[in-house]
Formats: sequence, structure tokens, C-alpha cells
Amino acid sequence: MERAITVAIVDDHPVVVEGVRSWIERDEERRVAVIEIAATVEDLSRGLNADVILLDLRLREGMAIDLIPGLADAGHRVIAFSSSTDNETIRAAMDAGACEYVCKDEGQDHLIEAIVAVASDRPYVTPSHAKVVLDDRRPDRPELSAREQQALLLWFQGMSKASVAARMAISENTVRQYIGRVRLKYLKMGRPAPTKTTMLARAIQDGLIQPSEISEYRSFAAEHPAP
Amino acid sequence: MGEEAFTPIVTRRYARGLDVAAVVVVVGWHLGGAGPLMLAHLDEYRVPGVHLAAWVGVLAVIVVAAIRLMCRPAGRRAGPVLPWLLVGATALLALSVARFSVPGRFLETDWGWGSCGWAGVLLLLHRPLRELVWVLALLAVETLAVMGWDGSLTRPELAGFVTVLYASASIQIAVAITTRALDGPARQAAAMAIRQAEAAARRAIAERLHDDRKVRYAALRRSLQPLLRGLASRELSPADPWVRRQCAIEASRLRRLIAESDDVPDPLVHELSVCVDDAGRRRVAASVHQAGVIPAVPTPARRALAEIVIGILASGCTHARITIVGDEAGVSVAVVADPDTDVPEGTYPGLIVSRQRTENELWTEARWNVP
Repeated sequence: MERAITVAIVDDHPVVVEGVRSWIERDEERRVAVIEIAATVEDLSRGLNADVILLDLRLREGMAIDLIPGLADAGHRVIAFSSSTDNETIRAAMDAGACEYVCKDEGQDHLIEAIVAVASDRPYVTPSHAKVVLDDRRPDRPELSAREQQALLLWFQGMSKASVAARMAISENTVRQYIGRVRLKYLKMGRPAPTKTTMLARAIQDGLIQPSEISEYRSFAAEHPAP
Repeated sequence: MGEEAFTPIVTRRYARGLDVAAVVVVVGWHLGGAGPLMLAHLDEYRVPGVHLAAWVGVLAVIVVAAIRLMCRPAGRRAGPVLPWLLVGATALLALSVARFSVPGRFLETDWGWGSCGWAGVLLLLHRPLRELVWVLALLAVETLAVMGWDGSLTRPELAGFVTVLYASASIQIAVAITTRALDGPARQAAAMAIRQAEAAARRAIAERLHDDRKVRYAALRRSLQPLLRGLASRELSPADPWVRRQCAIEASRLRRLIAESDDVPDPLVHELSVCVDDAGRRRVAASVHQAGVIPAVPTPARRALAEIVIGILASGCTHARITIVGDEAGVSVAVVADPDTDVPEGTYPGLIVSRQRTENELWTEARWNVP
């Protein structure tokens, strides 16, 4: 069996930590292992080597969104985790350089999958993040194709990827591609981060996007080469 | 709109009527009284041009005063500067008319005294009454002074002067007082009319709400009554899953019905949230999520959208995700749930309903488009 993906949890609510642990333990394939739990980012030691840092945005010291840029610049893959579903919080976390945002309500269904995807630098979009994209009215927002939009809408509505595939008469893999491409298009929003560059490089490697499609990302990648 | 907003509009109309009446009286006198009087004696005047020019000048003052009255902002008292400037000009015109009238026959040939007094009435219509009294007194003193200057202040002329002064000033002051006296009752009448209209509107709204409620309860009674009757007569058993499901549906309908009249910014989201709360009491882990801007959905369409959601939530789900996505063209309500029984596919006029069932998931989407 492959090495389990390592996760460090930064959270100061014991109940939440227990909940996250139970979701991770319930995964039959045991894909994820928690290597450290810390109340603050400063307290992290071994966890700094984890594949993914799960950061609760509501630490007692205040909103932890401001900590994301520092972690992302150091090359850490951060998943922002919060009970908040408001667009501003999610957008701020993503723009700050988080790899993904998981709302506590959807943790049971999406946390493991998000950790697995993010750990391998692959895009994942949670339904709460999909909502922010669907709600996006910013003039500089990326343009989605009609199929990407439809896949994202059905995903937001709560369908499984298999159901989205059945509904759109495409394969589950294509659904994953459509939704993944939405995430890639959004890489250009917010501040640059090494994690974004590696995600883009991995997407090209996986054939998720063609290098010719991403002229606007290529310059981005050239300016910020992968570490 | 409240009384505060309405009152100025209506009272202004009443006040405007009184102003128009005053303008008609004054213009009528100047054109029909003073004009012919001046023309009749034109060849007797020492300098006829002065009279013609003064008559036109007083007419101009009257026109300006009338325009000011018509354009007066509602409820605002007229400012003092322009009226007093014009009063001054009028007093000078009156003086020149008197000066160039036929000596010895002032009361017969001096049209300026009366016309200028009327112009003063118009200029000072919404000013304190004492100001008009002062102006009329000034005009009288002017005339008296000119009569004295010309040496024509004989006893019969003086007696005539007092008679004319008494007659003209009393009519002019009477017009000014009448306008003021009618203004108050006009306001009261307007306020009362508004209160009556508002009371009628409130009554109409209450009746409409009552009728709507009756229609809703009638619709509810059709399905709820047989259920309650069946349970009471023990023909229906609470152990029967179908009965339990019907009870759950009726309970949700009732809750939604109560929520329907709530005054909230987004009634559709509010009503569906109420249905979800109700499902929560039956241990269904349901949640409502919203994206986009939701247009105003008419009540029948809202009711139909809620019916679909209620039907699914009462079908033995353990969890359900309800999403409401709005755009310019309409709104889509989707439910992803795990019902353990078949959800009846009703007909919902005005909605486009799509369904997809996979192994352990039912997806239902109902779309309402803006007509």
C-alpha cells in the first residue's frame, strides 16, 4: 500500500478535531494519517512536513485567513476549514492561496476527497466553493464553458460525480475534468503561490488542460516556477 | 405612503384653489374696474402716458405676484424680500397715478389707489395680515397727501375719501382674511379625507389577506381533514407508513402556510427553510443552500416548488440537500436526497420538473421561469 497522506490539523476546538479524526478514521482505505494537531500555526513542528495542513479559519486568536499567504508562500498545501459558508470568507481564503475550502457541514462527504486531491496537487472543488464560483459576478472572473458551468451547477446541487455523469451523458472522468478545469481557471485569481504553480504543472501532466489552452497561466507559471 | 407624505399634496391643492380665487378677484378688478376707469378719463389726465405706463406696471406686479403664488412651495411661507420690493414699486406707481390724476376729482379719476391695494393683497397673501393693513394705510396716506398738495382736500372730498377708503380697504382685508380662514379648514378636510382613504385601504388589505387565508385553509382542509378524521375514527393507523408520511406532508404544508405571510426579503428561501426545519424534527439531516440572485416568484409557483420539496422530505430520507439557484430567467430548486419510498410524481403547472434516480440518490430539479 502506498504511504498514507499526512495531515496536520491546526484547530483549537477539541470537538472539531475529534470530528475530523473520526471522518479520517472512517475512510476504509486509510488514505490519510494525522501526524500533528496544533492549536496555532506557530505550535506546528512535525506538521510542517505534512502533505496538507488543515487550517480552521476560526481560531480563538481570530480569523486565520491572514496566516494562509505565509503558509502558501512556504509551499504548504493549505485546506481552509470553517463553519462559514459566506462567499466573502471562502473567496478570501482561496484568494489568499488556500488549495481548497471545506465547510464543516460538508466535511463528512468531501474532506477526505479534498485532502487526497490536494496532496497530489490535483484540483478539488467542494460544493460550498462551487457556490462561490456560481455566484461570482466580478468583471475579471474567468469564463466557464457551458458544460463546465452545468457540471458545476449539478455538483453544487449535491449530486455525486456518478450522477452528474449520468445526467450529462458523459463519463465520470469527464465530470472530474470539467470541475477540475473550473478550479484551474480560478488559479489566476488572488495572489500567486508556489502551490498554484505545481497544481497547474500537474494538470498539464495529467492532460487536464493543454498547454496551448493556458496562455494566461503559462506566463504565471514562468514567473513563479515550481520549487 | 403615510399621512405625512399625502397631506402636503392634498392641502396644497386646496390652498391652490384659494390662491386662484384671490388672483381672479385682483386681475378682474385691474382689467375690468381700473382699466376702463383709466381709459374713460385718459384725455382729461395731464400726462396720459404716465397712467398707461403705471397701469401696465401694476399689471406686471400683479402677474409676478400671481406667478409667485402658483409656484409657492407647499407649506412654506413666502419670503419677505421680493413682496416688499414690489410693494415699494407699487406704492411709487400709486403715488405717480395720484399725482397725475385730475385735481379736484381724485376719487373719480384716481384708479391707482384701488389697483395698487389689490396688488398688495396678492403680494402679501401669505404674510401676516398686519403687513397688508400697513400697506393699505400707506396708500391711503399717499392719496391724502397728494390731495392736500393739490389743494383739493375740501370737506366733501375728504368725506368721499373716507367712504372710498372704508369700502375698498374692508373688501381687500376681507379677501385676505377669508383666504386665511379657509386655509385651516381646508387642511383639516384634506387630512380627514386622507385618514378616510387610508382606513379604507387598510380595510381592503385586511379583507384581501383574510380571503387569501381562507383560500389557503380551504386547500389545506381538503387534504388535512380526511387525515384527521381517519385518525380520530381509527380508520387510519399511525403505525401505517403511508399515514405517517401524509401526516409529515400536512405538518410541513401547515408550517409553510404560516410562513407564507411572513414579510421577509426572500420568501422562497424562507419557506423552503421552514420545510427543512420541519424535516429536521423528523431527524432528516436537510440543509438549504442558495446561489445567485433569486427573482420574485409568485405565490402559486412558490407553493408548487415547496410541494415538491415537502413530498421528497416526507419520503423517508435520512438526508437531503436543497439548493436554490436564481438567475435572470428564473429559479431552479433542486433536491438531492435518499428517499426509501417512491416519491409520487405529481403535476406542477408552470414548473419544469426533471428527475434522476441512481442507486441511492434521487435528484429532482424544478425550474420556474420568469414569464
